Amino acid sequence: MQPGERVVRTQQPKPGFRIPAALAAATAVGSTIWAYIEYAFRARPSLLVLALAVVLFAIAATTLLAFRAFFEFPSVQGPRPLPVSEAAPVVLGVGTRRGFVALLASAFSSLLAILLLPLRSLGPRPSQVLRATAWRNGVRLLTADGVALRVSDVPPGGFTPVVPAASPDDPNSSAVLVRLRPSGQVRAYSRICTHAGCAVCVFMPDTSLLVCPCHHSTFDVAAGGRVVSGPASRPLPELPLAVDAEGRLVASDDFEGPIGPVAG
Amino acid sequence: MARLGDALDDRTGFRGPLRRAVGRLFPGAWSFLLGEVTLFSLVGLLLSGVYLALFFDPSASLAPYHGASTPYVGRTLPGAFASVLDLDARVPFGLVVRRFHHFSAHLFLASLVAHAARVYFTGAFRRPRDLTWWVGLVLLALALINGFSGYCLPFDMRGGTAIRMLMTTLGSVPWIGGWLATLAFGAPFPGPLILGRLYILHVFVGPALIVALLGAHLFLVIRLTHTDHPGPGRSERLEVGSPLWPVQTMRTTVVAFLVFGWCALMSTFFPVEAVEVYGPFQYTNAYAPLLPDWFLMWIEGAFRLLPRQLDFHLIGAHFSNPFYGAVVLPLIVFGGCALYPLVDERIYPQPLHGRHLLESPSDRPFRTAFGASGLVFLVFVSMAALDDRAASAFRADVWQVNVVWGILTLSVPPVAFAAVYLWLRRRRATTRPQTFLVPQMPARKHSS
Repeated sequence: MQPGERVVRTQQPKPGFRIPAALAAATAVGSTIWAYIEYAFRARPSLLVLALAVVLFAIAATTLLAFRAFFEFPSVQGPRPLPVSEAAPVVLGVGTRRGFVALLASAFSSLLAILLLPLRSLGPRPSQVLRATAWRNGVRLLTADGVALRVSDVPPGGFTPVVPAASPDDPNSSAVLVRLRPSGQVRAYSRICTHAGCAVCVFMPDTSLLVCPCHHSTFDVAAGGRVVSGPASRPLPELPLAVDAEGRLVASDDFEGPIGPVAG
Repeated sequence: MARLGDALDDRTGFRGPLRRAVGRLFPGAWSFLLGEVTLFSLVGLLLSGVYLALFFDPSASLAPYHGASTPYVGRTLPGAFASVLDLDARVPFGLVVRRFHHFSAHLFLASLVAHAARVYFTGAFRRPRDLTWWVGLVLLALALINGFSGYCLPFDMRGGTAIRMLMTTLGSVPWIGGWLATLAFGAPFPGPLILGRLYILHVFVGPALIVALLGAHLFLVIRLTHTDHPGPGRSERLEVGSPLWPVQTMRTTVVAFLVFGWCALMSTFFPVEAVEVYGPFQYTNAYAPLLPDWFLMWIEGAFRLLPRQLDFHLIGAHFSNPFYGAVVLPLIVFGGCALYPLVDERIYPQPLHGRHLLESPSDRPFRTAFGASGLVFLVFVSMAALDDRAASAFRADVWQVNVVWGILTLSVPPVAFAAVYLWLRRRRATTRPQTFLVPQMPARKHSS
């Protein structure tokens, strides 16, 4: 205690700790019972950690009880800090030495500029990364298992993810092949949602709609990937299709628009 | 022992500061302990995080899995996911420490938000404590970012989707988005680099900044003394409370063990972040419902709620839904919180040296109504992330649910504001102000 301070008995007989202790205990007990009923038979509870938890709670309770047994709760007074608006500003030596301060500032800012230059090496130009795909005229459509597809491989109302034979592991080229139910028409679209980039992997054959499960952007397959609902503002880019001499499906060009979410 | 103390004191001079620290005063109300809950969940996070880092492999490259998690043996998995599987299945205590890390993180963020709400609604952010408030806001932002990078790391279906959202968000910034996205990822999504970069952010940059700013925050708290509720014996001139030794030491010990105990108890029973169930990330796949952690649901909700009709082009730039949801909305929310102390000063002007005693929320109608409507707004936006569940519950289309919920999200907060404001105004006019008879202490001087 500082000299000049004193113990003051205020009208505060109960310590301010009862409410949180009760809350924490209630939370602990409640969540134990709930979690046990909900999960004990699915997860493998570790008895060692349960024991640890019990020990930790016991330490908390013991600390509290021991303290209450040994000490009182005196309230003490001390000074508050006062506003220091009247204090004098820092003076750097005699005079202001503006030239020297300006020199320091320009030295450190040019150092900072030099240090920022290597940041350019973190990645390539955006055009090489965000939009480039492997689809060209004549590139075959493969299934995930590497089979070159014919039109007859997809039943009406069916859909299958496809990759370009030229570069099957390229994420940007990921596409989906759909066969419409009434017409038997085959169409392919980018599999990357134009809203936030999730995989558009739900097809509803009755309405010919492709849906992205992340935020429910919905695209009309029969209408060139037009947005029907959801947050996407751009149609899903279509992949123009053709059939090669062996009857396999090939692309006749790259996607009809930039793939993926629009860059800002 | 005393000789050791003498020897140390000779070199460090620690006894003076220790003597002052022992006599520091702490207020008695339980709500002042929320910050301590945050502090000790951070300790739990750091300790469990170091343990996890000893086993984690931040690699996205695919390899056949031959580890201890039987359902996955023989499958081709990303390195990060495989290392988490092994941590869970092979390392003794690995699973439980990982869960402990998760529950510490949830508790950290929850207590941080509760602590900030306590500070806001009682006016503890007023000058000279506005700087403390701003440092705290940066801490909250860092905590959110680190929480996000943390759940990306296992590279399960949820984490990989979150990384995809990160690239979209960076890319959506008008004019510079393409560069932001490529510089961050260094390759087409997902690319071989991003996990290692997020890992360094998560285990080094984020924690280092959080610990440094926490130091600044606590320094300010000590320098400015604690606020206190008005009451008998309380005044602006004097701080009243219990000293660090022994009273606050006891409270702090109890808080620390309750925090660790709660995290241990929950990690015993509750299989949080069960990556074994989500499966490894595949960029050709997505599934619903896939939700972020609760503290990022407001951004996810905004992604779903904002209509595509708001997108527009301007001088070569595209302003789109992800930009509004993940950049503009957080800037508005954090900017609003940061600017509020300046607004509050205009609405409730007070002398500079009379701000150590807290104010009752019911005495400050505008402040309380503004904060309450802000919280209502955030809860409504967050709940928009449940649009698909609501749609299946009400047998409606998702877009119909979003139209209704969007109207509610825009209309309920203003109504809440008006209701709270008018109610508190009326209450203040009709009830006599709560005045405490402050007993006069004998005049005395303080020498510091």
